[in-house]
Amino acid sequence: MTNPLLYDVKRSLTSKSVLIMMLVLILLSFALVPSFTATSTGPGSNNYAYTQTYAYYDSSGYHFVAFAWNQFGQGVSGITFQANLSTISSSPQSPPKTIGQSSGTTNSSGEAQFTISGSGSPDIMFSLLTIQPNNYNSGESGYGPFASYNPQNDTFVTYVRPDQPVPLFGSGGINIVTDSTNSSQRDIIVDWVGMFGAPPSNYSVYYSFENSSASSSSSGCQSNPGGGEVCTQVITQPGLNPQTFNESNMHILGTLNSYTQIFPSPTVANLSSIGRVFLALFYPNGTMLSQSLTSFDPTVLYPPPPSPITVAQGNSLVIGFFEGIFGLFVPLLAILVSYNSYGKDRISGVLESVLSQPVSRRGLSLSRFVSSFAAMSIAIFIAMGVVDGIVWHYTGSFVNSEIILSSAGAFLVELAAFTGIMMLLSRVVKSSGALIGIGIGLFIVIDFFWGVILALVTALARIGTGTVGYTQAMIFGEFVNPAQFVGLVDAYLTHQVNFVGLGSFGFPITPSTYGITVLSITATAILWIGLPLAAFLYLATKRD
Amino acid sequence: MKRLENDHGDVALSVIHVEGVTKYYTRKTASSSRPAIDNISFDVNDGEIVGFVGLNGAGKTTTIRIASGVALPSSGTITVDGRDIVKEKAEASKRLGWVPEFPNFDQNAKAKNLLLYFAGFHGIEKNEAEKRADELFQRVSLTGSEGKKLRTYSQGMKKRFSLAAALLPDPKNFLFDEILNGLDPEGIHFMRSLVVDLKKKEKAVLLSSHILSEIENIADRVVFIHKGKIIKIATREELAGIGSAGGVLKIVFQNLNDAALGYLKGLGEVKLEGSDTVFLSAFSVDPTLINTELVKRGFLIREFSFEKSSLEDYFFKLVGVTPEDSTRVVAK
Repeated sequence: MTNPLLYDVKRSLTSKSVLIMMLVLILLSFALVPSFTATSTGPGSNNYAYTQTYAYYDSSGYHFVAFAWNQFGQGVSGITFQANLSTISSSPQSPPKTIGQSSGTTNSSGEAQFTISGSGSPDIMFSLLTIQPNNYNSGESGYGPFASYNPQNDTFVTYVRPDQPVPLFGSGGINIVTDSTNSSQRDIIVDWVGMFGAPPSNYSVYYSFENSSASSSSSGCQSNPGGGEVCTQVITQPGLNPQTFNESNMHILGTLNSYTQIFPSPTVANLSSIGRVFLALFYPNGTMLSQSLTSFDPTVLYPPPPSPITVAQGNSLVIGFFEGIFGLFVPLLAILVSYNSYGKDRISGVLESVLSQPVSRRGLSLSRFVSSFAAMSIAIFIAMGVVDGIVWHYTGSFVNSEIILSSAGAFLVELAAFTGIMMLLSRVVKSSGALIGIGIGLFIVIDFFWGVILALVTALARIGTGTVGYTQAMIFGEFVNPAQFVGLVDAYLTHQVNFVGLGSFGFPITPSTYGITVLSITATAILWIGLPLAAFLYLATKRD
Repeated sequence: MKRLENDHGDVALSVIHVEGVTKYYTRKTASSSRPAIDNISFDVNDGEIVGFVGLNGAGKTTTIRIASGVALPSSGTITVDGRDIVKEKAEASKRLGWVPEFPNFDQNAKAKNLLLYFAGFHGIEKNEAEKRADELFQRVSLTGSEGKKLRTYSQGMKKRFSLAAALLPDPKNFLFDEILNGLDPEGIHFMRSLVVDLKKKEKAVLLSSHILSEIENIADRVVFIHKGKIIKIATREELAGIGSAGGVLKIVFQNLNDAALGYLKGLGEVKLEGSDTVFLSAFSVDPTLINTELVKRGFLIREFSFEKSSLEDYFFKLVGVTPEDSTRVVAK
């Protein structure tokens, strides 16, 4: 047969109040709990782009190819590069002369190309200005000669060569970025400009792992966008000799066929055996681009998982979440559900169609109470289960069972208390508007503003904030208010009280000193469950 | 079951027994407020249709609500097949079907689901309940509306649904509160047929209605209630006698004179209309004998007709209301 109790439970569980409240709690859990639990070692969000500029010259002038990308290696548009060229001043009598300036702004692929016309000589000083849209990290990116002058032999050692672009800063070529789909993983971004400024074609990216037992040191390192540092010159003793790297003693990672390209990190079986990771770019003919050779500490390329917070920290944070967020919504849930399942029906007369069935007054009233309570309990357990799951996902362990069970128990007491109170009110209030108004008013006063009320009362009684008397008053307030029952339980569990009144106060206590014991908590629970329910059943049985 | 004497000294099996029931709607004492119903007693037996008649506010709905268990009496008892409706509510309700004047159901419930929910209280197995529900929807002409939410039902449909809910457990006793109100002639015919059919199945039916002609046609007994008190319980035979005894003779004379008037005044109450028409009431002589005597005395009669007194007339007389106040008795 259709069990009336189960029908009522289903009716309450699928009511708008319960579904919306569950959705709100679950969404809040997804939004807030992760921020409590995870500490990521990945790069935080940056509001500036990483840049690299290549330059070469030919008979028509000086050519610049610039790139800008975010921490995920995705091209960033709107970054302006401005280059100024001047002659090199060899003596105070011959000051530098401006040759020209030009600028380019990166497109949606994060690329910009611009040219300064001129004779194409390496005896040039350049300054490069990078302008980011939000002006953050804008400024002079570099200044220097396209060639360095050796006075001993009166020659220039050119950095910027004809026809083949070279990176103006660092080694260029190979950097680490954060994987765009998994922030705990790192990818490798390779940028290069081929001959005459064309995109590279069939360049190869190779990698090699150095054993961790080999000692090595590095120099010429600079910070890497993806974290850690990139070193352009590596000395290994005895270790690997990077100068002997070739395609046969390295492993291919992929082929570069565009100015910038992202490659996944090479798979590693035993991270602890790796001392250093080497990466290099090879020409199509198999020759290594020596300038591109870089090495990383393996922890940069393979960052350790986010440091989990301690179990105690996690549990403490979840307690706060339960008390602060769930504790706010549980009384409201009870008020709305009991209004819908009983109060509204009683006042409108709908309940009479049920009362005329073979059921006693006490039986019907109790049935509606139990079905509402059961439905809400299921909803709260599901929501708490979601929180537990989120915590497990981020920390690897579930919330302490004592906390979950105690909080759940506290919420059940609050649910029962407010359900009983609303059903009791529905026996005396004559209109449904007044009933829901009183219910909401009750929620606002004793849930939202209780701390303020207590603070005002203690102020009027001239009880100073932070005194023992103040704490006693606040704790007493938790005993006499069913909406604060979970706070009482938390105080017992954590030996800490948190009051939000005219300010926010929290400090450690010895619970028994303030009467917070298992016995007093149990007695309070029994009173909050029993008294409203008993009064409600009495009126339901004895009065129309 | 209680064996009681009704107010005519007949001993009968009493299925719905109302004993000394009083109801106050305020918590004031008897000395400071008038009860809605005051010490009323009557019963409804197997196979009997008892009409329950009274003006608006007389206490009919209050009585029926208490009998159905949805309201509590201030004092007195109502038993259904010997089960006290207050102390043995569940057992008593098993034996009752109630159709209120304004049925009120969970608007968000689908009709059939609600019926199955009600069946659960009666312990009817789901398959059996579904079968009965389908049959009842057909019987009350709600086929096709089973899956609809009750918020989409008209008031007439809700009344028929309420009837289906009352019939679902096939109880022995029925309480119908103004079930004819708001129905079209077809609906009235349907309800009338249903009530008569229930009587044939030896059910006990308490039926309140403002449509006194309907009560007159089908009720075995009529309970008259006025200002919370029962003023009369009349059987069908008594009602038939009221009809004949309480009738009015209309005599149109060719030549009305004092002699004729004198004769008629000796028989009953005389009312003169115009110069030739006399209405004679409250007489006890057979009308045909009056006609014969008038002719014998040489009076020329142009028209001689007899109108039986209606239940409505009788009711107005009982409660002391004139026909001009009849608007008080029309449907709400």
